[in-house]
Amino acid sequence: MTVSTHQAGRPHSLARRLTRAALQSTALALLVAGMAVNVLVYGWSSATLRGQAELQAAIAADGIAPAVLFGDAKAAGETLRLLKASSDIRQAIVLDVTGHVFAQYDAAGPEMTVRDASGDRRRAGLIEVREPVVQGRECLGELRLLVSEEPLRRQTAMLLAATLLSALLGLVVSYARVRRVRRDVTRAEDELNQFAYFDPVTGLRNRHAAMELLETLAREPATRFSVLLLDLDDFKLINDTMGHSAGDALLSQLGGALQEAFKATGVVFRLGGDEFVAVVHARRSEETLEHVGRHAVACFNRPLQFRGKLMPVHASVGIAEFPLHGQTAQELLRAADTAMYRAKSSGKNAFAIYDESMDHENAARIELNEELAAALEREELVLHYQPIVDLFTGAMIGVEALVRWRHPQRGLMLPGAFIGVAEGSGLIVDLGGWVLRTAARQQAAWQQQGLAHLFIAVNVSAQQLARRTLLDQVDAALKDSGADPRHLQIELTEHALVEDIAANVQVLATLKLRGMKIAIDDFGTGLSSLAYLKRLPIDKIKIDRSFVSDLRGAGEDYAIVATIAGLAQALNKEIVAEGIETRQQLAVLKRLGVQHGQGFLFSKAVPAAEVETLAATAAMTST
Amino acid sequence: MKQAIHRLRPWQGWLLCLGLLASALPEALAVERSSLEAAIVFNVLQFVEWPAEGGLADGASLTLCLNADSPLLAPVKQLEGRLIRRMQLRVLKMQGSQHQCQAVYLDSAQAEQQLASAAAEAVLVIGASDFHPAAPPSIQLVPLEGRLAFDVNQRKARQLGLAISSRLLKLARTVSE
Repeated sequence: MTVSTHQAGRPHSLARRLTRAALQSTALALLVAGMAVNVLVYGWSSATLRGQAELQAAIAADGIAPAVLFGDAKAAGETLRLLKASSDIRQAIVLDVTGHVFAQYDAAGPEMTVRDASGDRRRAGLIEVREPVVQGRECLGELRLLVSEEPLRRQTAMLLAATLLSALLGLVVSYARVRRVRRDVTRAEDELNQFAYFDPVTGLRNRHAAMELLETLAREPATRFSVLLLDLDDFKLINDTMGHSAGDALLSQLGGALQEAFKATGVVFRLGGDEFVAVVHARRSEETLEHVGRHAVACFNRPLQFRGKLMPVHASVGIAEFPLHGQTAQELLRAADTAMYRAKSSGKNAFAIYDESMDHENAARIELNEELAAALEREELVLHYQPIVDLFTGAMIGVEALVRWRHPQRGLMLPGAFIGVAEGSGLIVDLGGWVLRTAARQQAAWQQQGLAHLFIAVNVSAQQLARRTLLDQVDAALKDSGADPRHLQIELTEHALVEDIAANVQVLATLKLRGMKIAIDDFGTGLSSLAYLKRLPIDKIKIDRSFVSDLRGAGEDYAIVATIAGLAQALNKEIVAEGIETRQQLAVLKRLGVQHGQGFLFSKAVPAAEVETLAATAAMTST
Repeated sequence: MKQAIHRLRPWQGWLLCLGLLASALPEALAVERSSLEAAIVFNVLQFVEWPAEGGLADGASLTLCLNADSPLLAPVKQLEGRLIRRMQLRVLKMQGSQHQCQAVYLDSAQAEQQLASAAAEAVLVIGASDFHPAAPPSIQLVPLEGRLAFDVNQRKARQLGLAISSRLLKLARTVSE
């Protein structure tokens, strides 16, 4: 079975059936009506013919009676000959009372065999009419007329031919009309088919078509094929920043490219959103799934030429093979999906081939998530605080709150070990709320202890923004703790911010009204769009640690940090460098005018009590 | 058709047989001819309508008169009582009571004289096949090709107020107006 011939067997079945049904019913109606008319006309004509024959026989019998009475056969013969005026009458015989022929008349024409068996007469197409010859009250004999049905049958045959001819004509006319309707139905069917099986954005076949093909293929255990699930990385950003029509256009272009790439080996479907599926059936024996995966990822290696710009688009690819990784369409897609998530978490623009251990990992993730939910209840989580210092004075100006999990078995766990799971399950929203509440309480406590000048920066996840819970959580935390909102800050990643910019602008503006400051976390790693930097009410930019770690007096990172610093100054934003570990990095940052920073050079994240100790010292490190 | 015409009816067959025996049995032949003639006379009466007939009650008689010595008397007597339309046939010998006759069969000069003496009106006179009355009768039987035919004197019949059916006229050898 080949993938590409799928659906070839189903075109316009409805139209064809409609045509056939219309023609059949027309033909049937014409046939029934025609036959009914013919039978009726034949019956009437036959009855009329018999009636006429009986009338003629009565008249002839009456006329012939005197001749019979006087035994004048000649006169009787002359009377009978008058019947020749009626061409239907083939024979007239007068029998006397003894049954002997008294007079007889035979119409000119083909010889007739007249036998007594009436069946023969019927076959010969003759009607026999008998009429007694009566004079006064005396019966003198009998007149027998044989009337030919031949003219009647000829007429009936002609009527039948005319009926059939007109029926045929009717059918032709009807066919012409039905053809027109059929064209419309065919077009409608095509459109329906297009709707049902094709994605309007890319022109590729859709999820429905993909499922149908996979189900068909999976019914043949002997077939070998693989399912590639391709999920575009960060496509949401493109959609949100460039608009949906641009996103659609890009998807369309990408769809074309994918179709081209898998033209020879399979079929590409768009499952929806930024998900594509390639069903690859033709694989040379020496080719491994790795080859297929590399081929898929290679499609995204070159940036797309889009609206005059080069646009890098990447995708994570999950691969599952039939029947090894799944026996049904659903199993295969689920396996490919699991592999795709593995590829995505391994750093994007990569592929992963499904194996069962991925499912085990999933199970582990689910277990961890359940434990985390319980930990939230049992207060096993704790906040540590990493100081943020003024790079020029060395004074601590605030802290970033970072969550830790005091796991009863595993010990103190860092966020990297469980935040991903919480994000996957949505538990991150509750976790974020807890962090906000706890940080607010800490800030209120420090206020009491004379550390009111320290702000606490709290990381907020994209989901808190997306689910519209952030404002409520902030308000609840402030109300619960009595903290000063001016010393609470919100840190958001670029990804979280651009999900729904219009709504986010509203939320951030409200937070600022409360007196809170907003920082962009990990700046430079995401889209780094200058447009939203201008649109969003942001106070702070945090330079991602990846630019700081190799920071020297020159080079790429230097240029980037210099640019970001310049941008911040130009836009009048505060700027914080993350991950400062060496004095050299500190020196370069200071030279570039970066005001604030955090990192191991000053302090790792520490419990609140240690922050209080650190705050007592004048400076975090010598400047 | 010709076959049919030439096919003999039974009585014609008998006639033929009798004809063959004529030389040997002239008497028998005469008897047979009489009964044939009687039948024809009876049949003729069925196609003649008398002027007073419309006023007759059912069962009224239609009187046929014959000479007392007529050979037809015996065969005609056999037909007496048979219905002609609504009338019953009555047979009378002509013996001065001719005024009762509606029809007269003439087969001798003597009979013709008897008829002439009576001042009869509307009497249908039928001339026998072997006798031609001096005064032409309304109907004259004539032998023809071995059978009996008849001539009709329509003018005479009209004068007497007798209506002869066209169906009879059609069968007549000649019809004189």
